[in-house]
Amino acid sequence: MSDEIYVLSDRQLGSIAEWQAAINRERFDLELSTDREFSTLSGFLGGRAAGGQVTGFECDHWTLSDLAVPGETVDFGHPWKFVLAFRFGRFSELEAAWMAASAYAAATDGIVFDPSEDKLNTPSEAAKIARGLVASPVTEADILELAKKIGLVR
Amino acid sequence: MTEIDADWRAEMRAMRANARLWLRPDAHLWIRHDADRFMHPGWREKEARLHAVARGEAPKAALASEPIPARGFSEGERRLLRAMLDDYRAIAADLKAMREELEEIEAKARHPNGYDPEQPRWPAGTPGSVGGQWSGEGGAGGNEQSTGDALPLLPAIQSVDMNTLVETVLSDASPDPVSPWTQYADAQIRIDASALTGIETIDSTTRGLTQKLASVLDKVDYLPEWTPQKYGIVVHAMFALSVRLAQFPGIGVWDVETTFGLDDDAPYGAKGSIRTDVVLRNEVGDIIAIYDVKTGGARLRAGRVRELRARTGVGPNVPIIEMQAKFGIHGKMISGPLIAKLTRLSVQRTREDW
Repeated sequence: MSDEIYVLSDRQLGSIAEWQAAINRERFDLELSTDREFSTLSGFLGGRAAGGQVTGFECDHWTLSDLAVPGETVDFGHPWKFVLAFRFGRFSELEAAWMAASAYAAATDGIVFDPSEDKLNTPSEAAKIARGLVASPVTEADILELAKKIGLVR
Repeated sequence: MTEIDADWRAEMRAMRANARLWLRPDAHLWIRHDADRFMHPGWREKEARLHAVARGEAPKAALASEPIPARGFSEGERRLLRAMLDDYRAIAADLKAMREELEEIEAKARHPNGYDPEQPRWPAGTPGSVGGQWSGEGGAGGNEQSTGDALPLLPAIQSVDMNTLVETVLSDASPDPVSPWTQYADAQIRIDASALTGIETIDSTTRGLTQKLASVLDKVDYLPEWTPQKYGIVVHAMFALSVRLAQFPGIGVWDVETTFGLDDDAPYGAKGSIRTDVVLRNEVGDIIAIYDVKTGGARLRAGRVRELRARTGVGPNVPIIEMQAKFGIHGKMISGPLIAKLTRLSVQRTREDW
């Protein structure tokens, strides 16, 4: 199961190394895999978070028209040229995606669109959300505990 | 291997364009003479319609509009189901009475003088001279519980209208057995007509997954300390677990959060891979429907639909069904946190007229 966020911007970064530098500037503990070309990114992009934990997220280059939903009009306040789509299914991926997205938005003067809240976040707002997620993680044990509470497992 | 029946093979290819075609060309010769015993009543007519469409003798649209064959409940089976329903109602009523009794006993044991220091109060200075007084249920300081500790003794399924459920089962012969809006706790659950394909395997799975998601959403409270992002991930995790455990026909353990990579059998996290939420397969393993869960305001977007079709290799004949859960404010504690509850669960086939 997955959720998603998007960075809307008028310019792109040239490489994953530039993106990593932006992440480092924000002092996020995330290291992106560098074995891919940024310009052709599609699908899962791996990374390592604090303590060497393997993580990652799906990352794709989209255009504004890819954000379309039939019968709905969405106003992003500006005809953004580029869209970087992030998709994630586990908590570690959620953290990694928000860290990477907020750093990318900061480096490209973009914004982070969170469809679950239907909200456009400035890079600093997105960074705050990322730091909040890192500060109070949901572990696999938490998920299991909740599953027990609601009677899914014993 | 000799092509014993090339026409039959060509027909199978036309009917199931995505089939991996592991079948040998003369597989039909191995169908046992009493196969009808194991099949759904009316399957021969349905197969005949499929073949007619594959041969171009009938329009494709005719297939969807064909009524679903009756499941063939006998009057005896109906009586049995009604008796079971009556039993269920009696048990549910007993359990409800027992729970109320238990709660009363527990309350008396906790507070023998009828005094509960934990009960929320109206803040001092509240207009109407109620400051400091205990607030009643439903007020701003109501007894809304905000944590998972307040889980009901009975599972939330008790709030489903069992008449509707059983009637749905009994009236499965109807082409559209799903009532448009079903009340689930405080939420509206809608299976849009677009999500119904007329193919029993898919439609019954759609109904089952909808109930499963509604049940999960009904049980997982939006904890005040959670962010919407965290809540979304938890709901997804619970739904994935719940579907895996439910063992729906055509949905194996690996059909939940399946990784589709650049190579076959790509592992989780493989470079360039994507993950689907739930895929439904037919008896030969081909994907016949894709389900995607969205929470909050999230929607299935054009780019994602394109990716799903490209990576799973399914054609436009395979429905991509969006299960969208929206939340509203359910209550508010004195300390301020909001408790969101499911208010609407819409299930629809994604339109691809971008």
